Amino acid sequence: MTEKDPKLPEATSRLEWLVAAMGALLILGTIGYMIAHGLRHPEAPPDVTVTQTSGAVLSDGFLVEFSALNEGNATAANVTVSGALIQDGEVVEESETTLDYLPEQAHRTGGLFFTNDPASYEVQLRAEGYIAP
Amino acid sequence: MSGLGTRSQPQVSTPDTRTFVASVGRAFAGALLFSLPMLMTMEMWWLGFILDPWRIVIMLVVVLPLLLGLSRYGGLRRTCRFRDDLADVLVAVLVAGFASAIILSLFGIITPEMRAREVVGKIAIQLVPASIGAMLARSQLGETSDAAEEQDESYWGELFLMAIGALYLSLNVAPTEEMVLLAYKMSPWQEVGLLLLSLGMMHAFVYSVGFKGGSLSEGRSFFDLFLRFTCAGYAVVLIVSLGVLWLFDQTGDAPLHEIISTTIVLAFPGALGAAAARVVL
Repeated sequence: MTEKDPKLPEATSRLEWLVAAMGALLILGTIGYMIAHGLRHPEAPPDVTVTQTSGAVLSDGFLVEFSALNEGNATAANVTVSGALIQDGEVVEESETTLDYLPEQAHRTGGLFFTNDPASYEVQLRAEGYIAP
Repeated sequence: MSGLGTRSQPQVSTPDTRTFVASVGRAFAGALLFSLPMLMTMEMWWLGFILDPWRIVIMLVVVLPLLLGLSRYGGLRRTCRFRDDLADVLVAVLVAGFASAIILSLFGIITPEMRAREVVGKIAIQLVPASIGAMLARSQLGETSDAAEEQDESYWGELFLMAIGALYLSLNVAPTEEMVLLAYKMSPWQEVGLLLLSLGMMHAFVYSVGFKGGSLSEGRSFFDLFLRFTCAGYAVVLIVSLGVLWLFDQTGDAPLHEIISTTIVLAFPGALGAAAARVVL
């Protein structure tokens, strides 16, 4: 009962079924991934570690670049990252910055400026706090 | 072709590869047209990782029947059988996924270094508006809607269209902070005023623009129209608005009166979209 008639609704071609199957895979895959993620990562507070990735000498001071990794299962907003240059247990210089968002299981990068050369001190980096988004 | 079963009843014509490719192209354009504002809204990117995975699952599960309903009205092509609708919906989803992934990576919102959760979340959020856009492509960009399809629109069909119209306008603004901010700023009297304006605006549209060229308003009293279409329609809009706000986690732990006022604020564009559904969609 199939015929060529532009006025009639079209049947589904094999090509379209193939594309449709990929679409099914996409949506089921996404749903499946999210369910699996939800099951494997029950809610847990943000767990942020800050590590130095590199440093540089700038025209006016020094730069310490960092990477903040959130291994908890909640997104942190307004994460304050601070860095201190320490010599013999004394803080020589401090610097801080704020990350807008640090999603769960994700990292963000940033940098801190110092006037003293971080290479000659112990560099201590840490996340100071966050707010729930 | 005979193997795929054309069990006598609804007649269908043989599919044509060229028209299919054209409809995919149109779906792509429709997806972009509808979802570009959301692809360029930072709250939408953030929702990709802030939202609880379960909320994203609910969102994706809810959108499927919605798309199936849309397929009958708009969709990629004229359809009269469930399996054709289903095929269209799945094609639209794939097109939407592609469109969002391409645009988001061009914008640098998703990058290869990101963890899977963030990338999947960001695309999943955009799947909703983009696939609705893809499904609306034919009525928006393609052939003029044909009479045969629109004549048998039932009362529930009209309400469904209103819901889509409400989604159409409210999805754009729902994720933004302005919704909550407006609700804070408005006094209860201003909110009542906005509600009355929404209702009046809807009724004006129902009455003058009319559904199906005003045929619905013929021989019906003011109150009949007002209750059956304007009030029922506004109720649909409120439900859609509340649903969208909840999905986007805009309700949060807010007290009931804040939730109500945010819903009324969002229902304003929603009501406009619902009332103009026939014109806009």
